[in-house]
Amino acid sequence: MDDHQALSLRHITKRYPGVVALDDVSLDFAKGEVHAIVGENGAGKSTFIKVITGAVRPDAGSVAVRPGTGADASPAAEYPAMTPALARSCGIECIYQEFNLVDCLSAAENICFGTRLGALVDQNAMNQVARGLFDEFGIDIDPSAIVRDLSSAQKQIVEIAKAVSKKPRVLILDEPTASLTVSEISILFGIVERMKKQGATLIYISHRLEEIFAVSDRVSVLRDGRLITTLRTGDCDRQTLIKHMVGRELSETYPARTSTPGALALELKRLSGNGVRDISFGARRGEILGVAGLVGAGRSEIMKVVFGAERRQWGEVLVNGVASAILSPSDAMRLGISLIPEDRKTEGCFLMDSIRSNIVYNILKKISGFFVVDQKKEAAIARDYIDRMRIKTPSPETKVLTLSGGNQQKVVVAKALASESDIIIFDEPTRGIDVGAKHEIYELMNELCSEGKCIVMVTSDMEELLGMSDRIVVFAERTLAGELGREQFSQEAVLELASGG
Amino acid sequence: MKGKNIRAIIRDHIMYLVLLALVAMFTVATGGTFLKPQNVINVVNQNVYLLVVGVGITFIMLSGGLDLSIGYQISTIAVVMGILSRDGAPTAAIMAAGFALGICLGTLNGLIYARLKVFPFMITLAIQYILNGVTYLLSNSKTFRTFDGAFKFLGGYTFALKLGGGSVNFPFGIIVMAAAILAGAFILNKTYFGRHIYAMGSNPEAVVLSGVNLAKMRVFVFALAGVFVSLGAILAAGRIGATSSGTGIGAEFTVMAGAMLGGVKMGGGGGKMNNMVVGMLIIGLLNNGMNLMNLNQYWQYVAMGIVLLLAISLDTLQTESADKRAKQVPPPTGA
Repeated sequence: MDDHQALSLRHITKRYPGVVALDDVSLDFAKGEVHAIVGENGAGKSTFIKVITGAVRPDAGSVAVRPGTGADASPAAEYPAMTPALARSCGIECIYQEFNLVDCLSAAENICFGTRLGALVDQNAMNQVARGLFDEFGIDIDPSAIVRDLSSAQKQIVEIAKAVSKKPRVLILDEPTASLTVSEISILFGIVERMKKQGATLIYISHRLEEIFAVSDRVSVLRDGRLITTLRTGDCDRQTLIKHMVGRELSETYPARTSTPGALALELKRLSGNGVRDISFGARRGEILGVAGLVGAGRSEIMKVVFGAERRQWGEVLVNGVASAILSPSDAMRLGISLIPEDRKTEGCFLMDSIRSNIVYNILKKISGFFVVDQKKEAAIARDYIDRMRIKTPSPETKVLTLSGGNQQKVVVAKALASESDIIIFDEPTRGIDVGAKHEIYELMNELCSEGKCIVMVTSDMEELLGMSDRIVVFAERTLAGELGREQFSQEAVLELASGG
Repeated sequence: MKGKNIRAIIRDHIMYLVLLALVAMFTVATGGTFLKPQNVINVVNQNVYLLVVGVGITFIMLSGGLDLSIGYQISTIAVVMGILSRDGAPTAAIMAAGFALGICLGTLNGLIYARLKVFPFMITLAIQYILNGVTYLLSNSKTFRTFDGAFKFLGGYTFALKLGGGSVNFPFGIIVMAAAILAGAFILNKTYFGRHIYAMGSNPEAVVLSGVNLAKMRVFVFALAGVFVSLGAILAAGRIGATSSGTGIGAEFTVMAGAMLGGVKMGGGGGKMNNMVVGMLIIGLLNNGMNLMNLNQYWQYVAMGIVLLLAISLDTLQTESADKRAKQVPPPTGA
């Protein structure tokens, strides 16, 4: 490792069952540079960061760093894997998207957390340290303010200040602007600039391409776990970057669909709520409407509003042409809307219960005579869906917990289908499941389409999006960015809209 | 495969084995007195009212809740029934009032829980304080001893039952208790309400997204528990023949301890009525056995605590192995 390098990743490979998250990635980071990492959903950015911070152990490759903190770094050493403690001791700090602050302590206490300022807790000393940092960067936050009372943008700034206070030699910023407003973004850029001058290395991950061009010196593109290219930011433009990000070959084939779109089943008119604003689109019977966008663009959030699980603020939802007051999921289900939630484990199913009771859960009332569940009917319905969905299980009584991801997802889908809704919202229908199960779910979606059902599919999988959708609406920055008809389908077009073009 | 199944069966029925082991131990330690039919019946009979209350608390625990106020609910119901009986109200009216009050108190807890959406620890603790005060205000620290008729029948009537060579006195209360437990098991296993209880304990978020009114369900669960709490209070009044502010004190802890000991998961996620019954029997048996052995009361407390710690350790070990399986996560996607 050269003297001017701060961190060097060599031939890093990380596999998960069925997926290669990082494939032989080698990348050097120089001192005093801002290095941006871009890529689509699932390109491997998260895993990449985790390898550097030691949260993930790579299957192959090595990481070269300089142990010791501060300016007087020791000579470089090479490790087969980082550990969180090692990363800390090498002066690597990371600001994650989620907040890692202690809510009930003050901003100053959070910033000084883990740093000893004497034998006892010294509020004044901590406030002074925080005040010094805040003044230096022009941050207008009271150091003694309790974190719970701060806005999410202020929390993010405190988080950044906390990382900066450790005087890291490598600072990773993972989507740092996701919750920031314009004025705070300029504070952030100021911090980045100053740290760069002090010789620190900043690794900057963002899906907002304009930021990449504003702050970074070099930019690396990841796609499907591989490092595609590293460019000098000054030498490239938006189009070039997008081309590198999407240059994937559409290898998968998707089952053909014969159905023709019919009448409008679900229509959103300027719908706002749950942090997402002004969404208008329509979905027809017999069609699959793809909903695209980068993670956090507000897709799942608005679906929760449509389904009545979150409060609607403005706008309306029309079901079969009639404006409908959906105040709760049970209202939505009565109107024939089903939601297959994004996270099957925390929202979709009852892991501790049997497949049978999961499948019939939504229709318990229907199969009960005077409170008592008709167990014959129940068994028949469960059996029917287990066959139809090809759920691989020794018995309907098996706990869902013990099934594979793909089979768990089939149970969640079966549970939603059992209520025989006309409008089905699939949120990430094939996340984390194997190819075979994926295709079975695609075939099922086609079947539902030919039965005249309306399918809304939120997905972060570009191939699935382009392969399965009849039309695509693209979200960006918590609002609608545009709509694409089949003839306009291309990876570039989707990403252009999704990255706020 | 077969070996694994046997291990699973042992794991799922470990508390039955503990119960058997205790029976064997006390039988030997007491020179056979313990296993005499009349003693077995007495052990059960001493715990009749707690087992009935246990049905209610099992509903609450399986749904992911908790109720610390149950002991004082029993006291309140008992005192109100005592006042009514002192004032000469007809037995049927007294019992109806008892049930009504129990359902009201359960509903009250449930409504506050559903509205505030916090773990019901603090809520039911607050209610416990209120009811503690209310019972003393109502009773003026007096004891009511005027229970008769149906109360005495429920709590004290015994009939001779030919068993093997001899005959034992079989209390009618045990039949009521058995009916209550069966009813509870029926609700839990056969009705859709029972499915909702398990679902709420397993994943409340998924319950909401399945179109179920979670708040309403929570109120129902507490109200249903109230039915069994009142029945427990009636049985207690009948058995003791007297009620006071102290009637139910501590019942919530004994019953929750029993349910947990038997394998009902605190915070939801599994367990059946028979788990609660086994756990309560273990507690009852420990008390009785230690009494027969003339063990000092304070040593009995120590022993009980140790048994509970052991049961929790067993449970944790099981959950940990299940957790390991559950932690097989799909690869991360997204930025």
